[in-house]
Amino acid sequence: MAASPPRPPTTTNPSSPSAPELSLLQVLQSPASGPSRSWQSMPHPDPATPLLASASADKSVNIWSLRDFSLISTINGGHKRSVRTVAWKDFGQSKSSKSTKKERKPVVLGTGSFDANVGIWIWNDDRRWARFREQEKAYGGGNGPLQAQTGEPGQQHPNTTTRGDNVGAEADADVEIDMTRDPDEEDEEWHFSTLLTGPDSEIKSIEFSPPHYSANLLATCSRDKSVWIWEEVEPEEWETIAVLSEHTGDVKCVSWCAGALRGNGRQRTKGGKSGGEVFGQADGDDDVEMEDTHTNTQSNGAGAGTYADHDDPSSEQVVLGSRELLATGSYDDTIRLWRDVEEEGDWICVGVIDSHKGTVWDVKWEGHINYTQLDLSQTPPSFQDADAVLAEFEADWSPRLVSCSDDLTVRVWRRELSEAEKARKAQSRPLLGAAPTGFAGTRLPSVIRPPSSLEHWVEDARLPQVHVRSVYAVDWSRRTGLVVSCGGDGTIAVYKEVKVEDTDGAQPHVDDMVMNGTTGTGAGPGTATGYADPQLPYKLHKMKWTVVAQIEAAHDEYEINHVCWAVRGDRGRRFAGEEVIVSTGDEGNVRIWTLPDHLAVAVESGL
Amino acid sequence: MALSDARDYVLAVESNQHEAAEIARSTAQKLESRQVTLIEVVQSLGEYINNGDDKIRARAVSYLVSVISSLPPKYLSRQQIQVLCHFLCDRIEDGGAIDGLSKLQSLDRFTNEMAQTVVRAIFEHFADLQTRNQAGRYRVLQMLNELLDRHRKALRDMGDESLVGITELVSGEKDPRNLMLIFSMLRVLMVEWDITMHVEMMFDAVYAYFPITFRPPPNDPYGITAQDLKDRLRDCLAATPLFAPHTFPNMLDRLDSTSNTVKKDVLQTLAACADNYDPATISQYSITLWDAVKFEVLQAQESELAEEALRVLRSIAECLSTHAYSSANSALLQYLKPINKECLEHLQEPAARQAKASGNILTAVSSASIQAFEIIMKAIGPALITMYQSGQGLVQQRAVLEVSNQLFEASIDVYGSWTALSPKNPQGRENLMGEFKDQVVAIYSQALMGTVKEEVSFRLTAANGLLLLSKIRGMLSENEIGLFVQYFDDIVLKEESYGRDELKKRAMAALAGISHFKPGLISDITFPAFMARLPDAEEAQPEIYQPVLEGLAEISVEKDLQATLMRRLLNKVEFLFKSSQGTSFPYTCSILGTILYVLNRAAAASQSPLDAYYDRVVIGLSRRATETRGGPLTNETVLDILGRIMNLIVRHSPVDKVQMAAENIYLLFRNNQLVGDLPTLSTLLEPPTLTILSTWLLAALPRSIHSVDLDKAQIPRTIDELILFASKTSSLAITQSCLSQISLYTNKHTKPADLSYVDNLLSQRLLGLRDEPMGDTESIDFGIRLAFALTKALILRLSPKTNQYLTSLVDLLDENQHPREVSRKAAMGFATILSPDDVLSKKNAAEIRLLAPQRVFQILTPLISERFKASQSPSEKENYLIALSGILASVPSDIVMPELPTLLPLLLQSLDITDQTVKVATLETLAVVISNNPSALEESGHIPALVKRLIKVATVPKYKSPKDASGAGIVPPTNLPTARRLAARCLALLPKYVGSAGSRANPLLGLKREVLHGLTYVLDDHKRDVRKEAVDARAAWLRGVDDIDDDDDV
Amino acid sequence: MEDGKNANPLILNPSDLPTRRRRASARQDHSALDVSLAYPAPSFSNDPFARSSSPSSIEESDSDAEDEPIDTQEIYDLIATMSDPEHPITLGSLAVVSLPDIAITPTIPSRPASNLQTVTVLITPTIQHCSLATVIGLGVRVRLEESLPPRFRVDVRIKEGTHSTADEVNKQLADKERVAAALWNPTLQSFIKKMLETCE
Repeated sequence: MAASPPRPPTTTNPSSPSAPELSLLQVLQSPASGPSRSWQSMPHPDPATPLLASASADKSVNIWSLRDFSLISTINGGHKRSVRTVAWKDFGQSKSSKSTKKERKPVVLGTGSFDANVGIWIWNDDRRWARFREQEKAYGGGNGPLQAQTGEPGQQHPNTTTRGDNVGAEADADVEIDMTRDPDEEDEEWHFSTLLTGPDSEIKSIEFSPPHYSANLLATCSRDKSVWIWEEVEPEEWETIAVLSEHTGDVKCVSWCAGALRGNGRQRTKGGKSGGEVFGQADGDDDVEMEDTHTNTQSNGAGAGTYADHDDPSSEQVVLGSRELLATGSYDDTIRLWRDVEEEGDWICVGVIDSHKGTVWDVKWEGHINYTQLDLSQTPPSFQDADAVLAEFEADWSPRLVSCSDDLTVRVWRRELSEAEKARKAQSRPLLGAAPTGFAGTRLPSVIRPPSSLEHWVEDARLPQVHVRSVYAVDWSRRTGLVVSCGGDGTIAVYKEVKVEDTDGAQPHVDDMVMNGTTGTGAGPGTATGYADPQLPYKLHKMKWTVVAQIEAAHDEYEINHVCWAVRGDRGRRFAGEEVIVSTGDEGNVRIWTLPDHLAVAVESGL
Repeated sequence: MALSDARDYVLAVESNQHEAAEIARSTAQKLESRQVTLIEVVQSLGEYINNGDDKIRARAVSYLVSVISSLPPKYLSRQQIQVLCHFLCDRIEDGGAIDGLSKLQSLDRFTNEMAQTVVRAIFEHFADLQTRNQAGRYRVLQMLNELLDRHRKALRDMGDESLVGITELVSGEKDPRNLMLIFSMLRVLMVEWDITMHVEMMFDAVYAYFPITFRPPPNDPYGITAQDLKDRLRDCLAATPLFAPHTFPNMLDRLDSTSNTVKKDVLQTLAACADNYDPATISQYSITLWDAVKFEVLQAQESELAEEALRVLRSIAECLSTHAYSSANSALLQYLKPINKECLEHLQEPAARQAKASGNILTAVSSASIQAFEIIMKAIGPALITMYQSGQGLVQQRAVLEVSNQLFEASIDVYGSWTALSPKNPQGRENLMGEFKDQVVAIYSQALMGTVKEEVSFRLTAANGLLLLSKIRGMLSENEIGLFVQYFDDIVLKEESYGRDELKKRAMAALAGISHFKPGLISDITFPAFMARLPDAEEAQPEIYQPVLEGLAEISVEKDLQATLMRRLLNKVEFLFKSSQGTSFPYTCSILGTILYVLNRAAAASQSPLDAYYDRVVIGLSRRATETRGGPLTNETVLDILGRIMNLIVRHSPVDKVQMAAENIYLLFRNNQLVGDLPTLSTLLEPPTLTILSTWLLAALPRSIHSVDLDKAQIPRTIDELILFASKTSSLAITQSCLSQISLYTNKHTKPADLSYVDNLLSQRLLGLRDEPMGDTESIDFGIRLAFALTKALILRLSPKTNQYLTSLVDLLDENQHPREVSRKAAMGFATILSPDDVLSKKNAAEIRLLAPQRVFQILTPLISERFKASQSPSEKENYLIALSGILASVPSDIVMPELPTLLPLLLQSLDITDQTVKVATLETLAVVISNNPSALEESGHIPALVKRLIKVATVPKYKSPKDASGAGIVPPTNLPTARRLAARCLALLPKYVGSAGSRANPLLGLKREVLHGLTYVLDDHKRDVRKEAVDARAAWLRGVDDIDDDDDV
Repeated sequence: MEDGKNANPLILNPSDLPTRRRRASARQDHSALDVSLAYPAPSFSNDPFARSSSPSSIEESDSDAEDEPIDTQEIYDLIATMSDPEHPITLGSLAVVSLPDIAITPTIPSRPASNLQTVTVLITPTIQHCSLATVIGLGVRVRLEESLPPRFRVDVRIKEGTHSTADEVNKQLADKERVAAALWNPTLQSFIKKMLETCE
């Protein structure tokens, strides 16, 4: 842990204005008489299902409501030892009150335990579902696009709250009654669907694949050094399709690459091109990428399906940079990337990142496109061109990785394209404004396919070092691009990537610059040097990471095992789609934190 | 007619034992009175005796037998016996025949021939013995055993016939009862028969059973343990050296067994062999044995086995030592050579485990005999010395000293100590160690005195060595030992204390030890040295004189030393009494304390009667006190200890002296007669502090004794005077003293008939307490004290009104009838009722009934708990709890336990009130309850409530950080560390005593997580002792209370 | 030896093990010998009638006046009494743990306000390749974690140059997750239980 650069003053001096504190919104007290350590808490990916599941060392899982922070239920008896990890299956976001009429998607929870098993649970409580739908209406839909569509939040909030109030009240009331009336209904509430067994030792982490993947996958990892990939071949019927064992130490975390929503889910581009074209150009690279085309278009299809009833095409959600790619971090200090190269279920390790000096506790994919790094200052005034530039930028965009480690660092990694790939990209790139002559050019005879599918990953940035004990978890907000980390020192830190000369957000720290110096460049995709790459039809700002908020002793004297972002669901939320930080500690409690106002506003206003 | 008897018997025997017996007896009488002849009787059996049904036959035989049995021993002639013997032998297999024979063989006229006939009959008929049932077999074996007992010669004359016969007969037996018999019989054969031809057979006959693996059934009526069998079997194997060629190889094989019990059997057998076999035999195996057995010591896994192994080695040495002491090349020498050699090798690594083991080996063998010791010493002694001198570092050197210390012990063992001769050294042989003594003394002296004081263990070892050396009989000269005494003196007196002060303690112990065999040295060297250290003036540092005094007390056990000590200490005290300045006198008190301690010890050992000190102390100092007006002799504390000393002396003095004391309770041996015939108390008790002395004198007097002051007419007057006197003084000591005297009079010197006076006094006092105090609170205070003093005196003798007395005390707690302060004070007073009291004590012949505490407790508990429930006012409730805890504090737990059901709720309540003394008392009680009577606790169902409260008491309310949403409540006052510690302690105790009993799940299980969580805060208590308890408590709950649903797989 | 066990370890004498210096004040037995000698308190010295129920009235030795922070000696006392799984001897007397190898430091030096403290214990296995080093280390860590308040962070490491596979062992001992998981293993549990028996 030696080579830690001097910590920015923010950490040494909490009172410093540059890194304001997070404020505690709520403590979710573990219901147990003598609480024991909680390992991890996960919010349901769909804000319309505001549930939070937390894994406890006492073999149970607590399910909380993110609406009113009540304890909804406790799942017991599934595991014989500590529950280490939980994950929700993501069916994509259900849209707005209208969709309540339609067949709603099931709520599926996965649990991984030290007893070497993975459990899959299905919530079968219609009454509660109804209740959430109710509140859903009351709150006028929990997520971005719809909000944008239904205009002024300001206008809507008052009546929302009033309605919310009484509905909420009823809801709460009926929870109370219900709880008392029929306690043993608890057991029935979560139906134990499937038990996945196989790994020899403790399960350390699990994650379901994102909805737009070609198949429903589940990745699990365990102390036996192996990573297992399961596929749901029939509903509730899982098969092992791969056991990956290149890691030489127990595997701590798994994370699927989900890509990002174009415009980060916000409607922005006027008269935007259809996603198809964008993607057609997006994957100029190699045949493997062609697969992604396939998937993406497919997912487009699926996506289209999901909001077929939307008349306004502009709210289409286009996923960029998504590849069926799994990242794993391990006790052997490395991060590995895995892909099913031949599409025949032979998953291989396509990348190794080994510059961490200690156990890699957590890895997360970038799920947010940082448009701020796109320098539009000198692009020709015509919207057309601006759009094209934007399209190019989006086409080139591919997600980065963030990881945290026992070596006390939090680092961001970026894929470095091989020369061949760059070349092909260049040639496939149409002249600005001209009609896209995409595919033909890219179709190379399979004989001259690049020999290996190996990917080269490099350190893109090292975040300002805050932690003085192991960094246990990190999360990268899909909505705001903020990164949050926590660790054994009980500190939670929030980082933001900003333009170097940029002065809003936190004022730049000297050592931040230093750090960018050390980590080569903060620049975006494809460019190692400078940001006026002739190859690129657009310019990029130099970027850097800075600590924008933090809180020490966030769980009093206890260690913090996990931290993540969640869409804020309670009545107090400052704007639709606001995010809170959810931290999980050794004392068994879960704490909910909100960003300081100015920061919240800053990220809300986006670009 | 005899015929009819036979019939009747045969018919009766099944149905009516008694009648049958009668019939037999009558037949016997007929025989005696010659009405029938034995022949007739026998013939009368005719038809039955040959009956096909063996039941019938058996009855017939048993008839005959019971007839015989009821005959007087001398009745039967040899011929008759002969006849019967043959008759029965022929039918020996029929029921009862054996009993008949065993009856016969007990008769004097039973001859060797007959014995042999019987034996032969047995061999003949019972070849298939093992096919018969246990009882049957047992009967036969018993018969054999009897024969072997009374007619051994006859059997021995049969030679191999009996030898082989018996051995084969019993072979294959399995039943433990029978085996017990068989082993003892076989042993007789092995020892007394000539078995040279059949050694192997005999050996196998017993070895077949080795090792004994027998677990007696649960409630086995015969109470035969595996150990019994093992012992007898061992005796057999060790019976004769002839077995040696079989025993040793087999045993050594078995020694490789993995079972420790088998190994133990083997080693014990080997030891037994070594004890019984002759030297010649042993000498053939000694070395083999050493080579095999040594590993049990050198690689000891089980210390128990190591012990056994050492015993073997030692026994061998002892056995070989019985060889006439001689020859450079004795068997003993042969045996010890390899031992010396190997041990020496191990000793090269002195600090290693095997070196220690070697030390044990050498000690074991060398303590076998003088010869052994000398052989070992010659070989090892010099080596040790060189090893020490070339020692690399103290660790090694200490190890060397450890070993030699062991050898010193061995030497004491064989040569004897100053106080005790050794049986192993009858002709008082001179100690071989004399040769090295100078070197040894030098080394040890240097080790003890020439090493930095941080090297505790090293110096301790040296100190031990020196003490041992000085113990060895006739080894060191006076001045050499004197030198050691010097060392120890210096260590005690000159060195400043370090660490746990182990060395000082050890030095003291050493001096005490030496004082037993060299008192002269102590009184000549140590005494002066110590006394010189005692300051002459009161103002001195305890650190200076305290250890000295303690030292002196420790070493003056021996009679003369004690006398000297007393003389010198008294001189000191009297000198100190001269001063008339000062207000506190810790030094004087310490000296007096020492005197008291020594006298107590003497009294306990009832060495000398203490009246030797009567004149000087009791008379002299009392008188002196009456004449003093300042200084120590007017100091309450000084007088209290002095009083105790006098009290002790008087109690251990002859009657006349006691009588004298009785007449001087208040006169205190004044010589100048006071004017006026009857001086008032107040004039006599001048200065008032004298009261303390008279109290102790009064206390010393037996109940029976008479004197003016003890006259029944005088006592009420005295009491009145005392009350008056006490109410005048402002000194608590004097008040207490007066009250003690009043209790003494009431308890010891007042006949039940005369108690009415006391009753009135008491009731009127109690009445006085009801109304509001007018101004002087002292009177209230004194009133309450008096009330309790009187009640205590009365209750202890269980006077008939006990119940009423106690009730009226409890009434005091009622705030409606009494001012609050009265009630509160009274509540506190309950602590005095049963609390041990140095004055009103059994020692002082106070009348204390055994049942008193029980009665008091049984009366008070229900009373208090009922009033508690009834009471409305919190402060009053608190009074009851305080009173209760006062009682609890001084009641033996076995009395408390029965009352638990009533008590527990109150105890829990007591944990909620702030009064710390109550809390502490309660927690102490609870600790006892938990450890002595957990079941009661469980039945009460209060465990959860208790646990929650314990956690609360143990926890220091923590400042809640603003982040914590659960908000900061009102912060209750912190409990004292003692209370917190005890609470944690109770929590630690629970899992040790409360557990899952059979089906019932562990009642603590549900609380486990809560407790563990609660205790984490106690772990951060700022008092170390509290944290320690908390740590233990968590450990206990973590591992003492285990979840059933745990431990799924493995 | 070959199986990584040490049949013949060097054993320290109890009297040489570090111990807390007695504070003459706190103990009433300022004597090296038995207390019975300290002269009896006068019969009138303890007076139940006069006692007050307020903590203040209790004598010094039992007041919270002086604070006794957790120090290295206390840590030592917690773990030195544990016994080695292979010999029935305490870690203290085997010098597996020793006072100088225990350190207590603020976890976040840059933040004086923080009450977090880090206990670092270096353990010295009885021999270079002691097979049980990990178990011992685990035992020590468990003992400290269950005996120290949560504001303490526990670092247990093998002392440099005293063990062949020190790094491996250290990494395991430092891994919170693995330690937590290990405690579910019944065999390990009983092992540790055995080690801790001598502490209670």
